[in-house]
Amino acid sequence: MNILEIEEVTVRFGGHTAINNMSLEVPVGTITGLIGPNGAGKTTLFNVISGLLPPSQGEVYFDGHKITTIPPYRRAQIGLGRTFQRLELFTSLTVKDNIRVAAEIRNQWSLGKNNDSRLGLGGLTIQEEVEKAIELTGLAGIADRQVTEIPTGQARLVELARALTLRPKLLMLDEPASGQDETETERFGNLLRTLTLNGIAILLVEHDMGLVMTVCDLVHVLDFGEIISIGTPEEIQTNKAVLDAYLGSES
Amino acid sequence: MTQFITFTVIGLATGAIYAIASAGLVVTYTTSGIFNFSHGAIGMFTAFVYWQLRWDDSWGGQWPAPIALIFVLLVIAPLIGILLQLAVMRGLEGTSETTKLVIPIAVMLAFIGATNWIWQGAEQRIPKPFFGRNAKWSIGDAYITWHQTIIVIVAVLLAIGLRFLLFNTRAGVAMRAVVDNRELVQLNGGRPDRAALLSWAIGAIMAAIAGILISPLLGGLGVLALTLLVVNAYAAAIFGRLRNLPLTFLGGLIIGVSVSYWNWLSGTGQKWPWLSELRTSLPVVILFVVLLLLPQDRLRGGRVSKTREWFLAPTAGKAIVWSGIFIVIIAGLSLILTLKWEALLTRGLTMAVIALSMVLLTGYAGEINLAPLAFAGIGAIAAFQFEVGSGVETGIGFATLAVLLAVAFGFLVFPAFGIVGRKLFVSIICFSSFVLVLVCVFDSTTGTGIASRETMSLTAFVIAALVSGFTGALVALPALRLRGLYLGLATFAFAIFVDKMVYKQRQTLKLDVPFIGDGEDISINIFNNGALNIPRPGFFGIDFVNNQWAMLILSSIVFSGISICLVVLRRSSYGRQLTAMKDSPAACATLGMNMKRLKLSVFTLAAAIAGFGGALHASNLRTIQEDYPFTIWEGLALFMLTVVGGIGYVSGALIGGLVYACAFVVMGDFWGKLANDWGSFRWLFTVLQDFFLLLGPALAGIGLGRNPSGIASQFFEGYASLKLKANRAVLIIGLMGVVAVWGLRVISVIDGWTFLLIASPILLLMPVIGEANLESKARVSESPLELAGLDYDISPELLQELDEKVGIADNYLTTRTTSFGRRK
Repeated sequence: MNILEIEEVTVRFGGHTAINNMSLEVPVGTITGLIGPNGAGKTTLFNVISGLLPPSQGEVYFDGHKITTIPPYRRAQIGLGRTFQRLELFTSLTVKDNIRVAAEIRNQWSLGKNNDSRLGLGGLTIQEEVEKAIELTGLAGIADRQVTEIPTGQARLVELARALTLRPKLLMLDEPASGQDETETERFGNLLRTLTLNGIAILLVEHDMGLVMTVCDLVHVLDFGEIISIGTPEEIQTNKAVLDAYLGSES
Repeated sequence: MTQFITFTVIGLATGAIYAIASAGLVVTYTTSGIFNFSHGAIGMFTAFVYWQLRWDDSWGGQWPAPIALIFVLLVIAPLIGILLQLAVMRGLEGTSETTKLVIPIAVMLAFIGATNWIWQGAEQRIPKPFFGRNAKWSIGDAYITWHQTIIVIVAVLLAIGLRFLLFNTRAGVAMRAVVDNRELVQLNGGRPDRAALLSWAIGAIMAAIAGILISPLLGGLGVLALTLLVVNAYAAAIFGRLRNLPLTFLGGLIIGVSVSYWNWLSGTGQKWPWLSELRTSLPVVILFVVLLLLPQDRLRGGRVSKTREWFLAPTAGKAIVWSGIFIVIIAGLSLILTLKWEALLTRGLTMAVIALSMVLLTGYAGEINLAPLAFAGIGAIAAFQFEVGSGVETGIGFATLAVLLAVAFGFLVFPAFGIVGRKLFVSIICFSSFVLVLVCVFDSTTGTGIASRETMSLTAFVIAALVSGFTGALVALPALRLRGLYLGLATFAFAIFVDKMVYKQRQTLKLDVPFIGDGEDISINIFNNGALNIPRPGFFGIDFVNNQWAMLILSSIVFSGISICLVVLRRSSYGRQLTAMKDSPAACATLGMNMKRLKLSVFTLAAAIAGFGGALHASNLRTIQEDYPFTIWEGLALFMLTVVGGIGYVSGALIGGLVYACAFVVMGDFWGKLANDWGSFRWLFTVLQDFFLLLGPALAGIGLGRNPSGIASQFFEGYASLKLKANRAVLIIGLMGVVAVWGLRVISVIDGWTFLLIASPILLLMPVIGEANLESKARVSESPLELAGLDYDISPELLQELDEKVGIADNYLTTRTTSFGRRK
């Protein structure tokens, strides 16, 4: 079963086609990688899925519902979480408050709705929810610092922790490992694996090929707004079209 | 047909002027990213200069038109533009949208102040149209003056010229390149600074042309009227989305023509008395509508960059302690103030209450509102109408209205605080019953028909807050999509609308509340005869009517109360959500936040605070007029000074309100006193007095560019050293000194000015001495951290500092090293 289906989506900026007639599926409980050179349309695709950018054509389905026209905040409420390539942290707040406010926002809209176990905070107080997210992402040591003071690698973890308080069904991570060193990346890969065990599907845009190749179940390769190849990490590593796109056609 | 031609020509001529002015605005905006609010004031100022050169009898005067034109347009105007860019605008990079809006507003107020200063006196200054009043030609029976003809020709020539400049010259291409990508231009060897200078010069020239062309259409030169006329051009610039010059020109013409046709249709406002002022406010109505129709920038990642503004959140405990101290200080001051200064201080504090609304809305939530005093004015009018009224069966009508407003308020605000479902209904019922009880039980006017009271009840203040809050929601509702500059402009349009349509309204509003009473239940003469006599408060058995002291203490308590609420609010979940919305709307949306509901609630709350403060301010003044104190200009000044004070802090609102109402009057008075005491230097002191009164606020605003976080944060930083133990002696001695001087003043040993001259240096020197004291004590810790343990011993304080620096758990090193026995 697929949590996310994208059907023939096209995005044009004026005369420039950023995404051309692209279709893509993300199965439940898997990590789907999205790689491609800069400008291939990865972040644009993320913006289309999360609702920040309407597609010129095509449809987006999430969890069986068509979501192409509903606003971003409604998409988040039905379980679509994301992080940003260029950090979108709440810069006036501490690490902990960044996560806390996310839990509070969740608490706010899920109040008064029926007692579905996904809604509300599932029996946890906001405090407990925040601590859980902090523990999971290993941010305990810096929880009380201002987010502007912490290094990028850890700031990305804050964005992840924030998105996790949504209890997302699908988590879209936009270059989450950039700014992390090798040990951090390795730990991060394990974290992603743990998340999928809890039933979260992940759509991962990443330039760190080591990470992509170790954690992804399936990798899609984008170039010039089109998917040029789909396969397991092993298949992708030997695919000629992919090598061309990344290394230039001469090689 | 003749009329049609005449009105079309008039419309096209004014429209062409708007087009010229707005084109200048667009040119500066696209190259610098700054919306030049002072554009209108530059046009006004240069029109005055032109008048001086051409027609004044005493100085200048009688210059031939071509020479005067060349001098103003090619010397004065470009100089203004270049100086502005060099001295002010260049320093605005990396600041928030609020700061980018406030500085040009300050410049505008500076031009208004300077013009009032230079061209004093009530003499009529009448500029003549080109070739005189009688130079005209005709189409059929319709006459067209040469002045109108020239306007249209100039506009066409400028349109062609600008197009040629931007697309066919090197300088123009450079300007457009800067718009696209400033860094890239720099890397390619271009000079973005030079392009910016050029665009500011061109912008100022366009403003000057517009000012000179439009001034003869006005009759006499008026500082505010002329500025506002050019402000009308802002709508045209928005029409072209601040980018597109042809659309901007079209927008200008549309505005000019619609105003002209409206004049024709309405018989210059005679036909429908209710709408008589629409002819002057039509451009801002168009501005508002165009803003709403404008496709907005979408939420997108990557917009957040750390701005230079920075605000900490104090704790509730601290706020309560400081509020107590604040009230004591005010009470202490009241012992040594004369009635005049007591009244002035009250004015400052009530203004500070209004300024608190901006702390909530702009400081916490990042939403710009340029109409704080419009909401305050509406609150004051509502309180007046409720208490004094003028109509039939005001009581029942108002009771119904009040309950409806309370319900609306509940629906707008409560859900944002997490009150939903059944709780929401219960809370709304409780709240509206409370309001009903207030109206019915605690107000004796209800049901008595025509009410006319000597004092204002508590209920009137609640009504003021409710009416103003509801108006805030009405304004915010269509404008919810707008952010930053566009929201600022929409609220600016609203403020001008209120200035024209409400304060100048002379008609009686008659309302029939269904099912209640018979016939007209409410009859309101909104602003009868241009002045309202607002009663002083009267509750708790205290005499506020004759007792200014009680009024002063009441204001300080109200200010403290609302401040504490705001501080608590900021630390609550609601406050964090506001901060989150300010910092990153995109992240909020992807976390599931319904920002529209949050925005609507915070707009309603802020407007309610402004309305409450407005009623209090008006009631302290006793009288409000159509042109004082709640006009757009005063509102812009208050907004600016609150930002200068530090809009993220409640203390910023205090500074804003006090500086706005008192500081410059005090300084003006000080120089005025010197002028009286030392007759021989009279001219110098009079100049200084005028300087502070007319230009002080604006210059304070311009100074903001250096420290965008405002005075309050500077103050906190400066006095932070006094909180340390090492400086306790300095603090105590300083405070004792001030108290001693105060005591001397209380027993009348010294006079007020002496008190000021001794006390303020002590207060100002305390942090300086504190710093010096610290420096002499704390040499050791300045050694580099890497040498800790080698050059000097590791103290517990240092361990803690190391903990913080490496970002590990609290006291990790501290506890660990103890077991190694290295702790000293």
